[in-house]
Amino acid sequence: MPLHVLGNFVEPRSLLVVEDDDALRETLVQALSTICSRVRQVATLADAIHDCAEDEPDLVLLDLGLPDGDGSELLTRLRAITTVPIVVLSGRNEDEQKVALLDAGADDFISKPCSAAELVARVRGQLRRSATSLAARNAHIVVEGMEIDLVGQRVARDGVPQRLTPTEWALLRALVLNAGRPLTARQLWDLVWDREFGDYAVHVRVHMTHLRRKVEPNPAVPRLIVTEPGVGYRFVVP
Amino acid sequence: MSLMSRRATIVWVRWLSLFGITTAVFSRFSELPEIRVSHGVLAYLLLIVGASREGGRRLSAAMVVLGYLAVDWFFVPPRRAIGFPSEFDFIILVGFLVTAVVVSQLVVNLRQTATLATHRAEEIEKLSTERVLLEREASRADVLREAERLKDALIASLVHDLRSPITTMTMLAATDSGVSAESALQRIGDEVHRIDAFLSTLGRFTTGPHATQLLAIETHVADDLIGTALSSTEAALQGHPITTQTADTLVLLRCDFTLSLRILGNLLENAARYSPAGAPIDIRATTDDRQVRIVVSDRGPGLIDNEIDEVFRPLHRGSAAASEGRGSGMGLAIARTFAQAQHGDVLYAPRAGGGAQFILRLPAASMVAVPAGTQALRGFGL
Repeated sequence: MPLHVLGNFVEPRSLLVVEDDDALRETLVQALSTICSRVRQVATLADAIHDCAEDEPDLVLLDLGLPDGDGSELLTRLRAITTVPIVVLSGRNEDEQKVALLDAGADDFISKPCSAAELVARVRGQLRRSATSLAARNAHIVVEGMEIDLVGQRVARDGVPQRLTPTEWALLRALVLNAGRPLTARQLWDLVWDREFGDYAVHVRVHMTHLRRKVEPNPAVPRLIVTEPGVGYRFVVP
Repeated sequence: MSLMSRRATIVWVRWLSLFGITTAVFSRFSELPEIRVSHGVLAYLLLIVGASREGGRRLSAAMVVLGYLAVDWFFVPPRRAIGFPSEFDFIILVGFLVTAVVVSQLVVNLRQTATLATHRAEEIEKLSTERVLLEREASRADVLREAERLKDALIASLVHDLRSPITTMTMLAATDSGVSAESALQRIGDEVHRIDAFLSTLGRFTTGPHATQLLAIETHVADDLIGTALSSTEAALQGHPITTQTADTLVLLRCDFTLSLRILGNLLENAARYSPAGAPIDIRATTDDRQVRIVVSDRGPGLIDNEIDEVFRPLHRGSAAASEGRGSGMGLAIARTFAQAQHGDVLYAPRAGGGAQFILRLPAASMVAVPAGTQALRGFGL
C-alpha cells in the first residue's frame, strides 16, 4: 500500500463486512459504499477467514454476535491471518468484551446503534491511520490555543510552556501515536510503565487526569483525550 | 475389651506395667527395715491417681483392687498373705481403700468434665462457623433481592416510558402523517436514541447470572466522571453555560463508571430540561474522606416540599415535568437505586437563591502510592 500524506484520503481497494444479520449487513454495505466501490460481505467467521486469505481487504468490519465463534477467540483467529485494521461492531453493554477485543488486537469498536455518518467516519479514520507511517502521525498538533509537539517535546497553552513529567510525556506519546484508536488501561500501562503493578488502572486514571489538566484546551470537558466508558481512552485528532 | 481403642490399650498396658515394676521392686525390698508401710501406701496411691487421670473408670477400679491387694500382701502383717489383719492394722487397709476409691473417683470425674467441656467448645465453634456461613448466605440473598428490586423498578419504568416513543414512531412512519419526511426521520432518530438509552440501562441486568457481577466497582477520578458526563450530554446542555470547579487535589471515588455516568448524565439532562434556556448549570465534586458528593445545581423551579419524596418514587416526575411528558434513560427512582447499588445515593437539596441541587453521593477512595521508578520511557521511534 502506498504511503499517503496525512489527511488525504484515497479510496480503499476493498472492504469486508462480517455480519450475520441480513438487514444490518445490507445497511452497513450501503453506508460503506459511499467511500468504497468494492464492499464485500460474508455472514460467518469461517467465510471471513476464507475471504481474507484469498484476497486481503483494506479493512474488516466485524460484528461480535456471529453464529460460529465468540468474542476475542473469533478476533484472534482473524488476527492470525491478517494485519489490516479490524473494526468491531458491538452492543453497548459489552464493555468487558470490548476491552478483551482491544487487548486481543482490534483497532477500534463501534457501539450499536450508530449513525451511518459515525460508521463511515470511524472506518475512514482507521484506513487513514493504517496508511500513515508511525513517525508521521500527529507529531505536531495545534488546537484551540494548545500546541503539542512530540518531536520538539513541547506542550504550550496560549504560548506558555507546560511542564510534563516523564510519565505524562510517555502517556501522551502512547495516546498520540495511537490517535483515533481506543486504548485500554492495560495497554496504556504496558506502553508506559515497564513492570507489573497491582491496581494499574487507578494509576493510569490518575496520571491521565494530571495530563489532561496540562494538554486539554478545557480540562473540564476533555476533547483531545476522550474517555471511552468502561473501555479506556482515545486520543481524538482535532 | 475388644472394643477398646488402640489408645486405651496403650494406657492400660502402661499403667499395668508400672504397677508390675513397682510390685517387683517391693517384692524384693519390702523385707528391708528402711521400708515402711507408708512408703508402699503412698506409692500405690500415686499409681492409682495417675491411672485414674489418664485411663477411664475401669482402669481406675482395677488399679484400686490391685493396689489394695499389693498393700495387704507386702505391708500389712501377716506379710505375704491376704486378709487376717492383726489388731489395728485393718485401719491401714480401710484407710487405703477409702482414700484410693475417693481420689480415683474425683480424678475420673474431673477428667470426664474436662472432656465434656472440650466437646462443648468444639460444638459451639462448629455452630458459630455455621452461623457465619448462614449470615454470608443471607447477605448474598440480600444482594440478589436488591437486584430483583432494581429489576422490578426498571421494568415498571421501561414499560411506561417505552410506550411514548413507540407511539411517536408509529405515527411518524405512516405516509399520511402530515409530517415532512425529513422532519419525521429526524424525530424517529431522536426516539430511537431514547429507546437505546433504555436498552443500555436494561442491559446492565442481563450481563451476568449473579447480582455481584452486575457492577464493576473500581477507583475512578471525579474529574474523569464529570468530564465524560458533560461531553456525552453536550447536545442536551446546549445553550446552558456550564461552570465546573476543579480542586488541586484529585477526588477519587469507588464506583461503576458507566453506571455512574448514566446517573450523572440523567441529573445533567434534568437540570437542562427543567431550567429556563440560558440558565447556568453548575457541577462540582467535594469529598470528606468517606464520601464524594457530585452536586448538579440549576436555576430551575426546584421542587416543592411534598414533591421531594414523590420525585424519587417510580413512575413519577415533578409537577414541572408532568406537562412535558418526556423522560430520559431513567427516572430519578432508578438513578437512586443504581447509586444505592454502588453504596451511594441520589439526594435533593433546594439551592440558595432558587433552583434545584441534585447530589450523587458515592464512597470515597483513598489514593494509592504510585510505584516509584517505574516511569521508564518506552521508545516509539520518535
